[in-house]
Amino acid sequence: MKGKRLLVLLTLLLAGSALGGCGFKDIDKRFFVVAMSVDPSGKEDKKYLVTVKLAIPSPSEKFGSNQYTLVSEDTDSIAQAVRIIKSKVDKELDLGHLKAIVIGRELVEKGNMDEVMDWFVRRRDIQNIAWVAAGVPDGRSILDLRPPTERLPSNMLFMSFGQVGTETAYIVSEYLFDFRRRLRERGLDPILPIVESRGDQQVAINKVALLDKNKMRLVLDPLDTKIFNSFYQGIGKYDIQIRQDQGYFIISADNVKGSFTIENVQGKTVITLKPHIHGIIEEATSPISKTELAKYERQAEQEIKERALQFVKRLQQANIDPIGFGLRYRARHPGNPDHVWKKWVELYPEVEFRVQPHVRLTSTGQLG
Amino acid sequence: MNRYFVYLVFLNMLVNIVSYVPQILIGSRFQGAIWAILASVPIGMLLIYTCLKSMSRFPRQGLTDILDSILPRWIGRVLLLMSACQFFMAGCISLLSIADTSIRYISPETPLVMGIFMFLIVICMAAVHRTKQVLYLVEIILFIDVPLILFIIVKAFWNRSYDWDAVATVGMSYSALPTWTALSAATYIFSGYSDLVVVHKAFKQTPSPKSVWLFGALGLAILFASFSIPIAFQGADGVSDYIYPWIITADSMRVELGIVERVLPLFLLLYSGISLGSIIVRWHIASDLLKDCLPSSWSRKKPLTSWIFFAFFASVSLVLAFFFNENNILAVGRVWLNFRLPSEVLIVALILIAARRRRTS
Repeated sequence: MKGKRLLVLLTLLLAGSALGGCGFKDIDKRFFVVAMSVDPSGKEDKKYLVTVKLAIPSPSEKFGSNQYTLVSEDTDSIAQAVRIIKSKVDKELDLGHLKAIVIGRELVEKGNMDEVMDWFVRRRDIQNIAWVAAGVPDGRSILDLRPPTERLPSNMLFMSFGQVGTETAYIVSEYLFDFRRRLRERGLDPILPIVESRGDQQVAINKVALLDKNKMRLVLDPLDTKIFNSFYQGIGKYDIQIRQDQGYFIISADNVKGSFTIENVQGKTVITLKPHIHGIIEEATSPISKTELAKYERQAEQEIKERALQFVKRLQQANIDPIGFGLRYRARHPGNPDHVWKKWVELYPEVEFRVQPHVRLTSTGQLG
Repeated sequence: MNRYFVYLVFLNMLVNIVSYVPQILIGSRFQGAIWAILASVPIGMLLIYTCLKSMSRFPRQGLTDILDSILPRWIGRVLLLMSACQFFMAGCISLLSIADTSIRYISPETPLVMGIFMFLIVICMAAVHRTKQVLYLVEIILFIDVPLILFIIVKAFWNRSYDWDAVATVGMSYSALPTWTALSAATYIFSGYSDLVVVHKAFKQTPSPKSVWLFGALGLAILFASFSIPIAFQGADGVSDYIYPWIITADSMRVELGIVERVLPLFLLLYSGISLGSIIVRWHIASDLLKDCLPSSWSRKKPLTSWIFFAFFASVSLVLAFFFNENNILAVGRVWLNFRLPSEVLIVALILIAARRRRTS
């Protein structure tokens, strides 16, 4: 009886194998694409310059073993470009390890991001947790960096965005799926961190580009990026400079979490921002007294209030909403989503902002 | 309380993700999905309660015996056939769905028919066993898969990308009345109890109807998770762009310190297991119901009978796989879900009538 069953199983398996061959390719017949960039094409009749970064495996993983090769192609569509690139290399392209998508700044300024991102989202083999960024001066030159401190090609970008290595509030990281969500969501606008090549094979990531649903509208400088990040990621390792008399002191915060509420006060829509900051004093130009921490807290609150107000007013003037005020409004007002949204579009330019910061200092560091 | 009954209901709750329930609910998220979800809980609880309460009057009997006690034999056979079709289609749709997704994301070069064939081998060889053995199998599958699925769900709620505002935005369209399809999709969560039509024969004791509260709470939680997690990750407006919102969402989670950074392979593996378990149970029940429809001269015990049925099931699935693509399968799933709710209500009503008649007589 048992033997019979086994026989049946074997026959079925044999029959199964007759159904079709498989398209499996060995690892030595594949090129792994680790990063990709899209720039506007230099040629007049073409739209994009698509570049793929192909990792060259090295026998041992050590510093400087980040060998790669770049292949570029000018075309009108990304899919086409990748097909043509395939004809330029000898191995099959494997996009399963694509972890960074760099879009040239010029293209972000030109707009039509929905069209650019379509291919990346539609492909089944591209990770949704790939990082998207804007490249300055352009995407290709960001890919073409060979920092001697890397163990794997493009690992510098992965470490920075993943906040695995360096942890800083200046780096905003954006996943592919989140970028796509923001492109589609009414009331939450897309953002792109800006990766700047700063010579000597290194990069700086401390600015962020704010987009409307189509193209770049605003670039935040590092200080504003930090404020934005407190609402976006609520990240730790935060520093805040507070002016005091002629000098300043610096708060090092372990965690800054920005929250906000939308209320209707006497017929006016009021958004109240409530950043919560817990930290210690890390640097001061004039002597700091341990007994007067409360005074410093008030000073800090005053300054944060001014800066945050300035920041959100800039957003309001540009009519963009990367923090998601509109989405919060939609989340609090029942009814037909289209009507609610229309009402918010009318409301947003006239919204009043208030800031209620809450600062708590626990220590003055090692100096009392 | 009978733990195998809990497993069956729970298995059915988990498998909703591959049976197009999230897709349908998300499709009507601004047109009554909220009400459908809220209404499905009392409806589901009522059906479970009625079924358990009535079934307890027929210890160790299946649907066939119950129907025979109130209806002429041939009407009973027609109903059994209909019920068997429902169970077969339930399994078949899950099969097409999981085969389509696993081929698309694991091995895109394999033809769909080939993938389904591989699944079929496992399913048929497991489903041909006795009811008790199938139940043991379900227990093992759940023990392996559920902790990891819970891990993924908990991880999703803790994720920074889980946007409560998007979920609340969808919640704000609560005033819209549900469509029939949305309601059918939402009540599907609770339909695991209907496995009792056959499995009841293997139970020494009917599960106590008191456990219905547990199912209500559990069902609501799972329904909320399976509806809200894709919305929270992909946005209230953008989520409907995706054919498989849950797969995309699983791919949107990152486990920095896991063996593999991506959650997608783990998710596919777990859900292959869950859906295999569910398909095995469904087809086992379908074949058992069909056996009851055979003329009494045919011996139930013949092992060949089951194999003939499974060969039939398998060939129908392969034919369906051959003719349908992902969009058609979704449409088939929708139609099937629409029919499922009324036929389930009909069966439960018949069981209730039979129970009442038995009490009076």
